Amino acid sequence: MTGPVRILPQAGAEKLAFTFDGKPCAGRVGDTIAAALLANGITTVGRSFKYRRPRGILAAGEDEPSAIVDVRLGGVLVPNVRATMQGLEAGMQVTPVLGRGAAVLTGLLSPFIAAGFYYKTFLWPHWHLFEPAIRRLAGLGRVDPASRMPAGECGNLAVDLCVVGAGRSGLRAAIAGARAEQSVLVIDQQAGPGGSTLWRGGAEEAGALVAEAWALGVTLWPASVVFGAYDHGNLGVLRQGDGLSAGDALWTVMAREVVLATGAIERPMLFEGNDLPGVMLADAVLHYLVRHGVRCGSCPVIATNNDSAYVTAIALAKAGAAVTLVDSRGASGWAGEAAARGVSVVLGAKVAEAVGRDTVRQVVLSDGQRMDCDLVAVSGGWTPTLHLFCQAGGKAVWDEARGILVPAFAVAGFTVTGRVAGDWTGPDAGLPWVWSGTPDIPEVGRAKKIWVDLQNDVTLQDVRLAARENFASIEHLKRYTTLGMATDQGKTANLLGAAALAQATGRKTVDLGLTTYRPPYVPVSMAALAGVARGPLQTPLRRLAAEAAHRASGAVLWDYGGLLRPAFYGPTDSAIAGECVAARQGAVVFDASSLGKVAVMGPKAGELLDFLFAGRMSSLAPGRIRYGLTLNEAGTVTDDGVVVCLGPQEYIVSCSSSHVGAFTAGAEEWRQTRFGAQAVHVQDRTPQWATMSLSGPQSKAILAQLGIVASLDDAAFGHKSIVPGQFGGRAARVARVSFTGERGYEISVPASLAVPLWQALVAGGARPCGIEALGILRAEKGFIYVGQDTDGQTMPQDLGFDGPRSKRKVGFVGDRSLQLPVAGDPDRKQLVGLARADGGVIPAGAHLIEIAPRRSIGFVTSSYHSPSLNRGIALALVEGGRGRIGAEVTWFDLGQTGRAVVTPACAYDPEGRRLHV
Amino acid sequence: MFDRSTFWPPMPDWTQARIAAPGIEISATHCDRAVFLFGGATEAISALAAPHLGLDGALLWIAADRALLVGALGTELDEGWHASGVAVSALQDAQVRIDIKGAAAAALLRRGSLSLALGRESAGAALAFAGVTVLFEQLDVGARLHVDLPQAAHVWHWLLAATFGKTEDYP
Repeated sequence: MTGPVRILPQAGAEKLAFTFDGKPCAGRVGDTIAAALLANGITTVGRSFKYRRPRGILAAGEDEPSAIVDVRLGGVLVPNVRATMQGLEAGMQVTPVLGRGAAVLTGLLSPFIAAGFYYKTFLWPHWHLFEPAIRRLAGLGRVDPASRMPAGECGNLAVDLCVVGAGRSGLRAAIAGARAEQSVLVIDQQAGPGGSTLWRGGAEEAGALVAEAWALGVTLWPASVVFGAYDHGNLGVLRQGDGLSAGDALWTVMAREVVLATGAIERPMLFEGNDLPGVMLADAVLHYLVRHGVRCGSCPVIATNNDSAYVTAIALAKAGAAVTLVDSRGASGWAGEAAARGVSVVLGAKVAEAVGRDTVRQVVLSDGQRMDCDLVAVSGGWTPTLHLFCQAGGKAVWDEARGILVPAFAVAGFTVTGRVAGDWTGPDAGLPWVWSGTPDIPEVGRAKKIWVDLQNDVTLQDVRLAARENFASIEHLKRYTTLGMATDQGKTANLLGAAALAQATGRKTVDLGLTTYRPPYVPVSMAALAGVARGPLQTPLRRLAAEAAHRASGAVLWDYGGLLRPAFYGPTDSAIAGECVAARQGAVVFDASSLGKVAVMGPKAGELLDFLFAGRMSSLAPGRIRYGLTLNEAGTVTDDGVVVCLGPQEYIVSCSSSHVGAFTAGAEEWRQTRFGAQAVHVQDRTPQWATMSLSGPQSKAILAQLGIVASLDDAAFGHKSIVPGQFGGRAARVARVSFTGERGYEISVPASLAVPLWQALVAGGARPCGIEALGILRAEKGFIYVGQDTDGQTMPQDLGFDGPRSKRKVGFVGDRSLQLPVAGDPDRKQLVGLARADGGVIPAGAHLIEIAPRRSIGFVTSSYHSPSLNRGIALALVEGGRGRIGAEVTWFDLGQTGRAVVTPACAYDPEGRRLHV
Repeated sequence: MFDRSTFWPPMPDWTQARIAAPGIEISATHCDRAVFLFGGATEAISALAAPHLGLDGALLWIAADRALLVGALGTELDEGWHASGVAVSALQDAQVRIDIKGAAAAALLRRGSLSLALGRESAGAALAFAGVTVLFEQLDVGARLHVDLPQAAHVWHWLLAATFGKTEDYP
């Protein structure tokens, strides 16, 4: 017995040197990694996921469950490569994703680690105690942080007709489409068109079809897999690059019509030791023989329950192998033909056990007969590849009579043809073909040695255990045993698992159904999903118009809520305290350009704002500004901001930076549904304006130097008012508002003048101030960040704004919820401040607790060291918080505890005198 | 604190921003033309915009009641509420105009947007490109994208990566 060997070297084919597990090997151009491994006599290519049993190559395509390898090429490590789908390249360093590792230990423990073992065993003291060790043992492949996974050029394509599968049926469909003057795209996972005709005969016919398709202008994407069928004919396609280092590329194809000619997947057979290396699918054995000249065994046993494996047997015999074919049926129309070609045919028998240590050496038949062998090629029937059809909204049902899955109903825009449609006629016509075979589930034998799902190590015993424990639906079976949840998505296992469960529960396979087919059909790497959108392109981060000036001022930038903003200015975060002090003693400038500037215009502008805000806005006089809260229908605070009245029919809403989109969308919805499209309009002008917030006792003097507005006299230009101005020859606006508690001016200019304005203010004496310092300054004043200092239940009265609930009569969003009994509960969480006696800082997020009974009464929402007060300050939401002012509470955070006094939220200048300094 | 200043490449200097590669010429301009956002009834928008459309002007429809007027103005136009029920906002500084021209422009545009791969059958100019919403304007040679200023850097860096096939070490 020789095991696998290449018997038909391709004349002139270039040799490719590679290594497997460090050992030098040689392959040929055109080989997949799996073919090359077999050609080198390598049958064991890795270890199983759970029990670390030796595993070989089962299949020749995307259904392969075991031959998953890591490949390093040109310094780049690509993990979890399916050896049956990846072409071989010179210099590849191939290693199994799972080595021997703890094989001995897991082998000894295997009787105790059946399905559900984790759920039952690691409950005490806590799952997380065991999780790290289990995760180290589990997992496939390794990620090399030093490697950047390549990605090919992704894209989008629209066609009239997309044919999935370039076999005979697919090519015929493509030609028909092209003749009807449709733009046609054919996608096939193999390197060339032809499908299974390339090894099952009919290659000449396929070649003619390909030539005709080319002549008609059909586009062919070889080495590509449609991994997902989505709404409206959208297909997700993974295109293999020209070599591993080129990376896979993700394409979206939108087709008016889709023809699925995806063929069928051969099913394994269930017998003891069916996971041994050397047990392969019969069709894969034929594939390696015809396509790669690799004879997978010299003394093979073919086990089958249908006619398709006879072709493999005859081909192997022709290649010089001593072939025995074991057919579980009592008769076959092919038996005589096979016998005449030198195949020893055994009818009415089954393989009961495969025997061997690291590879198969012998089989035991159901009648007790033993046969030596170096290959067991199995064919347990075929399962039409209906995955994409089901993803598109179709359903596959089990046809008990034919022993195959069939489409339950038609799906608009999708057509199935060929074997996927149950059409088993083939090029090998001349003899009757019985391709289908009902899964044969052994009723005797050691079920724990019979593998249903090779990749996730699910045995027949596991399925029966699940049935005994009443996980009797196919969906429960999947989740309890992990059957079909591996990276092969159970392509060779799902139907066998369903049949095994049906047998264990005394039902029919047809009654059980199948688990839901979901994308992706094959694994898609994160690199391919990202395409070029990696690194800084991973998210469309928004930028400030004055970014260049901030960088020049030494800003440390950070992404805050989708915006790249200055955190602070200086080499280290010690600058933050300096910025806070400057704001209290001199002047700082903060880039507030991202604050919303949403224009609300029209005769009903005031009315709309009255409805959107918890406070009345229509009473604002032109040039005046008012602070307000917006709520949702539950009365919960969703945002805060100021409303600026520019005129009787024109307002600007300055909402929070990260809430601009949500506010605009909400306002638009109410505008359309309540106020009439012609009475008011909402337009987001935020990107048009750059706004610099100048704050501090020196702010007035600095602004006066710039001459933007004619007069800064407080009598005419008081707090919460706005005046027009000029900067750089263009219209500007200056508003007196403050988020620091100091005298403040927000200067808004057209965005193209952002840099000159910033530079002028800094040159005038204002210190650049980042968002970190602003966070401290506003917390000192008790000003909130909605979303940080509020939660999903915070209402205006919890923040000290009782008016919307107790006084306001006009309807507004959320008003009815404010009248619910829960809104008046005195124990609602209310915003307060906290202070430690020792001046220390309470950890943000700490819970405030009562000891008896031990429970949380609130939590710290913001906490900082205040440079101005030289002590820790904190804001917190606390049950009945305002009633607790002056009382001590206990805080708890990650095992630490301490005491703090409840204070008013505002810790700095509660009288507001600093606004006018 | 982890400094992200280097992770995110600087925003391009729009006065200098150019991409040139075989078959591709891309240029960008910030606020060199008047851009106004209109809101109101379709007919009212068309009527109000018509006198202001200069020689190279175009009205890009975002929705049935919303359009962006781009190009040099034929006459002056005021911001605010107009008696015809149209609201007007000046957005000249809010938009970056990116012109993509060359033999390979169509392929690049299709790559950035499934909507463009499908062909332009919609009257609406708004579409997703490189992950953000842009307004698309077909030119005689190539196309023009109108992108909100805060997101223009992302689109520009995407174009660089897509043109040169890498995301780092931009030329």
